[in-house]
Parts: sequence; structure tokens; C-alpha cells
Amino acid sequence: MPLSDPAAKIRLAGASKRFPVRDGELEALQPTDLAVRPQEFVALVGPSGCGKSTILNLAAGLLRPTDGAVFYDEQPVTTLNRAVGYMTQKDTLLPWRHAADNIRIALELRCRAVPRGEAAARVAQIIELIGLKGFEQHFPAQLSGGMRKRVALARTLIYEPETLLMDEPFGALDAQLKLLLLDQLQSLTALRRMTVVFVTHDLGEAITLADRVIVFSARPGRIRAIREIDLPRPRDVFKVRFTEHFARLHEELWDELKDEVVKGTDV
Amino acid sequence: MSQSQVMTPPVEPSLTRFVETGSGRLAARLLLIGAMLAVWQFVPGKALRFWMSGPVDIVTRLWTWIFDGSLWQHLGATVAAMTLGYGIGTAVGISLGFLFGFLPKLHRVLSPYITALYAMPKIALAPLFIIVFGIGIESRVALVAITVFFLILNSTLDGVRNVDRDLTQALSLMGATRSEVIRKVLVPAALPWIFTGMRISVRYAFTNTLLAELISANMGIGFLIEYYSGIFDATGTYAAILVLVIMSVGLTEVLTRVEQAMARGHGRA
Repeated sequence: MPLSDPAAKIRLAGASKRFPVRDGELEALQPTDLAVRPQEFVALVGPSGCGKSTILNLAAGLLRPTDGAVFYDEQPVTTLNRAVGYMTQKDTLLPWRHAADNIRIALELRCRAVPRGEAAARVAQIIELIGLKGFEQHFPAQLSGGMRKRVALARTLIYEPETLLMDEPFGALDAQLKLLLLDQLQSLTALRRMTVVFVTHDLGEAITLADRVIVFSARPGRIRAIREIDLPRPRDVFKVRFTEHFARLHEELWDELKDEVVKGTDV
Repeated sequence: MSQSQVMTPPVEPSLTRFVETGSGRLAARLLLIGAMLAVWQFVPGKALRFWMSGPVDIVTRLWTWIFDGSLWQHLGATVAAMTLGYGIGTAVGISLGFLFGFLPKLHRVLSPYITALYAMPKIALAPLFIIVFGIGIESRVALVAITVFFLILNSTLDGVRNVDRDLTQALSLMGATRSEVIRKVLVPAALPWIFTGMRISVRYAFTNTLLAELISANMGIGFLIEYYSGIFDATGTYAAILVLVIMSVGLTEVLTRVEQAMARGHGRA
């Protein structure tokens, strides 16, 4: 079905990725077809090393597929894809800039050229929103892992990219804070009409946020199940997980996922 | 045995305790140098005096140099050769370091030559520079500059090459141009490496200035040492060495201050 979707934002057409390793090749991603619709929120779940991050790297143009092709707005992705904001698993904050300056960096670039005053106002606004008040003048090395994740998130959100690629953005956060940020992410991406591809280990997180959850098999990665999440929007991230519908979806998807998690762990 | 250790209260001799205090340590140091100078001044006989000179003669000689102005001429020549060479070497080293860093293909072509020249002890070039630039300050500046150049070139290159690729990639994805990536990521990331190179180079610059002056020069503290030992004037030789010791102490002091300031600056980052 995805292949015939004419207006995909991101489309993988038989895209696969193999990496050369010492003795041969490592197959990270089997040939995969996948289409992400404009303004869709897609969550990719699966065990470690199942190629989820590879898909994000392909969409961002950081990697070329070994076979097949990757399209963005139906144009083949052949170089860095600057339409996406990519929040990688590792936060890529600049160690010599304090939090506020790190967040502002995208607004300093010539392709955006936001006037100084406006940039400062937007930085202050997003710092407030993401709960970093009081930490503006801290350097990354002085922040906890969770704090750095939030700075990275703010830095990505502030320039409002059309598409957001997120690789386990909230893995290191405590449960309450995670819910708060999920809530903010949901409202922001809806407000800005962003397309989001969200990689996570956490099935609950995936169901809470996504329009569609895609379950991946253990390495070599391949799509095992796709499920539309028909929970009504806007969703209350704090309560939605206690509804019966959520529980049913969770059970159904967990059945798909658990075998893969077991397989994934003995690799 | 262990019992006796427990039972015996630690008795510190009062002299040891005195030396532990600030003024005590100073007194001990003065006593030591005083004793050494006294031995040097009074013990050697006539024959030894020719080779060893003596503290009073040396200080008197230094005094003469200070007042007839020759000290300042030679000191100035040494400092000028060192700072000029250091400045030129640093400027060119940083520039080419960044150039090669940003143009890795060019660097890959040139790297065997750079490595070969870097490994060679630059002092061996001193005679060549004297042929080319003459016996004046230019040959010493050239020697110091080329020594410093290779040290700075390599630390700049290391700095640029050790930049986390994820950082440059992240900025490119945000839409940064090549020159923005350079200005906002590569240059600031390389700065600590460059500073380290500059710090290390100071000592090399100093040493090589002196070596060049010892080999052949018409000016400088190294020249004084070489000249007076050449005419078997121990007093002049020691007086020049004394100037060198004072210079080294001063230089070390300055460097320590700079290092401390840099360490503080780094603490935040």
C-alpha cells in the first residue's frame, strides 16, 4: 500500500543497508518499503540494532541505501536533507557554547538569518517551554544527560523544521519529565504541522504519540507489523495509557514485539 | 612493633617544622644558596679561579654590562629573534593548518613531506639559514619560525581532524554552509589544540634561539656565552649564563600564569 501513496513525505522504496565489517557484511536493514505521509507522526519500535536509526540516517541523507532508493517529497535523497531536523541519539551540543547559545545556533545561520532580538526572544520562549529556565548559562558538561537531551530538543524545535527525525530522544529521562515533554512535543508538532519519525524502545511512548506504529524485527531489520493508532486526538498523554483502547493496542503490538526483543537480546 | 608505633607520640623536630612554614622555607633556601656562593667565592685557589671565576666577579661583570648598555642590546636581540620567529611560525602554522584541515585531499598529497620535515631536527638547518640569510637576526628568526611552524601546523591539524564529525553533520543538517561549519564548529573546536601547541612551542622557540646564537651569530645571549667561552673568559661566560637563567625563570613564570588562566577558562567548557 505505501508504495502507491502518491504524496509521501518520506518514502523508502526497497531501501536496504549493509555495512562492511571485518569479515564480510553486516546487514542493518533488509529491503524495506515505507511511506510517511505529510504531517504524519510515525513511531518506529523494535529491539536494539534493528535498523531503526538506519532509516532515520537514510531519510536525513547521512547514509545512502545499499540497494533501493529513498525519496523526500518524491525527490531522491542524494545529499544531506536540510528539510529535516534530526535529533540524534547522541546529543551533538557544542561543548564551548552554553545552553542558550546552543539552542540559538540554527537561528544564526544565513539560510534563516533571524534578527538578534527576535532570536533571543524565541530562545527565551523555548527555554521556558522545555523547562530549562535557570540553566541558560550552563555549558553542556555541566548539565545532566536528561538536561542535555532537552537542550538538543529545544535546538531542533526552535527552527521549526518541516520534518522531525528523533532517535530515542527521551530515553534518559525520568518518567514524569518524559510525559511532560511528550505532551509538549505532541502539541508543538501538531501546531507546526510537522511530519515526525520517532524511534523508540518504549511501546507505550510510541502508542501515546503516533498515528502509526511500525514494529521492526531483530537484526537484520525488517518491518514486522504496521498498526494505525486510532486513538482520538488531541490525546492526554498523562491519561491515555489508562484507557481500554490503549491497553488493547499495547497488547496487540507487544505480541509482535516481544519475540523480536527476545531474539534481539541473544544476538 | 606495631604497638610501639601506636604508643609513641609523633615527635617532629622543631627544625623540620620551621622549614614547613613559608618563611622557614625561604630562609632555608637563602642559606643554601648563600653557602654555595660562599664556597664558590672563597674555596677555589688561583688555578681553579681561571675556570670557575667567582660570584663577585660575575655580578660585577653583569653590572658593567647593564650600565654600558651591552646587556640590553644582546638581550633585545635574543628576545627579538625569539618573538619574531615565534610570531611568524605561529601565524603561518595556524593558517596552513586550517587550510590543510579544510582541504584534506591537499593534505593527503603533502603529508609524507610534512611528516619528514616535522621529524627532522630543525637545528640542522641553522648552517643553511646562515648561508641564505646571513649571520644577522634573519637566520635565527627563520630557524625559530620553522621550528614553531611545524609544531603549530600539527596541533592545528590535529585539532581540525579531531572535531567530532557528528557536530559538523548536525550543523550541516540545520542548513549551515561550509564556511559556517568552519566558523562555528571547526575553528572553535580546534582552538584548545592550537593553544596547547602554542604553549609547547614557546620553549622550543627559546631553546632554538639560543642554539642558533651559539652556532653562529653576532648578537644575543647565546652569542655572549659562545664569545666569552671562546676567549676563555669564564667570568663573562658565567655572567651570560646567569642572564639566561633569569630569562628562563621569567619565561616559565609567564607560561605558568598563562596555563593557569587557560585551565580556568577550560573549566567552564
